[in-house]
Amino acid sequence: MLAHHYRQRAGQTRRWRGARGAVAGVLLAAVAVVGVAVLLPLTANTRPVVRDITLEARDMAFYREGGTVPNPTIWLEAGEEVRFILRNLDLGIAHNLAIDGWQLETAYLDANASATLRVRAPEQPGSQTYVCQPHREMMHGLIEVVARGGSRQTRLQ
Amino acid sequence: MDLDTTGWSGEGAFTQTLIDVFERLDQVAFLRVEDVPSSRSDVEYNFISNELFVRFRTRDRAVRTKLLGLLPVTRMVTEPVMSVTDLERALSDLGEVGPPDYADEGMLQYLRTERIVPPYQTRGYKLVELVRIYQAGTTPRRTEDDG
Repeated sequence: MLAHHYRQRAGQTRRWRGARGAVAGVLLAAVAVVGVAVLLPLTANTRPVVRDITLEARDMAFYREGGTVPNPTIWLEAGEEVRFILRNLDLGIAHNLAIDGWQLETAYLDANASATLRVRAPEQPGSQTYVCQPHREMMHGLIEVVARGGSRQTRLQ
Repeated sequence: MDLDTTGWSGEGAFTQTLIDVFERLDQVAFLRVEDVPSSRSDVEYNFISNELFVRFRTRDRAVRTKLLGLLPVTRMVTEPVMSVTDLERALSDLGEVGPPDYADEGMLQYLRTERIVPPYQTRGYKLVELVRIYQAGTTPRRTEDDG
């Protein structure tokens, strides 16, 4: 009789423990789902993408990286944030990059040096001139700011 | 001196000065002159870029060495009588040329700038001449995109 009673108690305890484990598992799963749902959006980069525009100074002109057109026109979207990277490849000649209208300029760079200008294009479309200050007659080009959502094909020229 | 100007348009007064100087230098055996594709002109400037490839005369020199590190032998070595560094010194001493604006062991570079005002005009343009001198057989420093 007593033995039967103890066997019954033991069975009830195992069932209770099993039920507690199941509840804990469900709670854990729920916390995990809520956690992923809350944290996942936080990992997304909400900052606007900054486009890099690399210019090489060589043979007394600016070129797009690997490009063949001297002093090319650069197209930006209104409000777009870009990073101009200037690399001086002219041995023995110091160059810089300046955008007079936006009062921006890099230091004068010796050969194989580089510098960066971070720019947010104005909200109003328009154009600016970029130059190398000591060689502005030969080294100057246009920055065209076009309305947001302008033709991508045009913008990437 | 053998002169090859088949790849040169003839533009560049300073380039012509250099050719004349090289013709007087006994150490120079061969000179090739070429236009660089980055030459260009606009309303405000005329940019002329040329490259000169020089081959120096050579001489034979006896060098004593040891065969297999044991047997003393004499070998004849052919070497140029001048290097780019020697050429830099020689050109620097000449009044019509002077020292280069940039020099390293493989290249001399001259940059000449002049403002030209044509007759009966008030506004002139800038004439810029960039000349690079290499030893023949060296790869020019211009990038591949320049041609």
